[in-house]
Amino acid sequence: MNDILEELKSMIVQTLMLKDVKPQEIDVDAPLFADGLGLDSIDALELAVEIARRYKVQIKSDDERNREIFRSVRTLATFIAEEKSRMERAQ
Amino acid sequence: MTVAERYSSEDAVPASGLLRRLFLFARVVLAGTAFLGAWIGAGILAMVLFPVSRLRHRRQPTIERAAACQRWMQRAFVLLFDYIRLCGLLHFNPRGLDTSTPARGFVIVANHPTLIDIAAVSAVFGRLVCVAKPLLFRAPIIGQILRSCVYLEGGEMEGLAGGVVVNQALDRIGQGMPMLVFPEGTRSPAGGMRRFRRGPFEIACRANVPVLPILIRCEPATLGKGTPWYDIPPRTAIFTVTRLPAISPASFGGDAGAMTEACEATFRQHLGLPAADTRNPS
Repeated sequence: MNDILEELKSMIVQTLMLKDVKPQEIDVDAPLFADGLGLDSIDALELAVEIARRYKVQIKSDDERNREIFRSVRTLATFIAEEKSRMERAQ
Repeated sequence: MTVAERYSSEDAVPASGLLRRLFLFARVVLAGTAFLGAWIGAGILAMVLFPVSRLRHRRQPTIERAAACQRWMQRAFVLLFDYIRLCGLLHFNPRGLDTSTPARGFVIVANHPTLIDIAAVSAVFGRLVCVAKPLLFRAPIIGQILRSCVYLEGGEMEGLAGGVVVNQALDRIGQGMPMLVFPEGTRSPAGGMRRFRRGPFEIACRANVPVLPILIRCEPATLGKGTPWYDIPPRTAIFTVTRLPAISPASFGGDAGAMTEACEATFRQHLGLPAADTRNPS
């Protein structure tokens, strides 16, 4: 879980090419959108694509849970961890 | 005498008493007929003209079938603007505006002061695709019209919807269909403007096509967000659509964020609004 948190932080900075933010500066509980990191839904889709590539975890664009999943780095990491263990159990 | 002088004169409005009340009542009745006419027109488009047009163009690609529907909608909007101009409710003549456009595709961005901005821009350019909220797609008649014209279904900002819209928009532009996007995401607040979102600029940068900024003014203000349809000003509203110089992604090095800031600043300057407060985005 902690690994995912750290990976996500650097993924956010790299994928979204954030200029004035360093991975270690990201508060894992701060909101990703608007007044937190200030991401928008275009950023969110890019992250979703990158997450699908790295963790093989699909986030559907019409999933009603997206607002919850993308609340903070922590909620995103929790979702990825849960999906991964669910997929491992299914195998 | 300019159009604005001719229509903005208070002389035409009776000063007081019964005559003034009758005059204002007649305007509300006329506005009612305009809205009723618009709904009837929408019904005719959705149930008669679009199906016939689709049948006629059935051998053409989907995008050209949609374009044929968009042309019908353009004619309907021109007719509607003629009617409300004749009624003295709102003056806007979509004819005679410069409609030359870049051949490789483009993204129109506009401020959004009134309910009829899409109608006005469609009446001028005809061929274009817009983003509408999901609620409208599920409405009868309007939903059919939006689908026939291959409009895009927008969603909330806090999710992936915006990103999906960008991808769909790129697909439309790739097929030679221009986009109209209101970067504020919804209608402007009275007398002001919301912060621009980068969606339309992201589309322009990724497709490498220019942005065509269009400034919309309506004086006195009418049909704004939250104003009921019958709350109409006593004199004719002057509605204008002004083309600002096109901006190309290349001059911003393909940086959609920088393009968004610059374009918003241009709009604020033209509308006489103070520069955006970047610390407190609304």
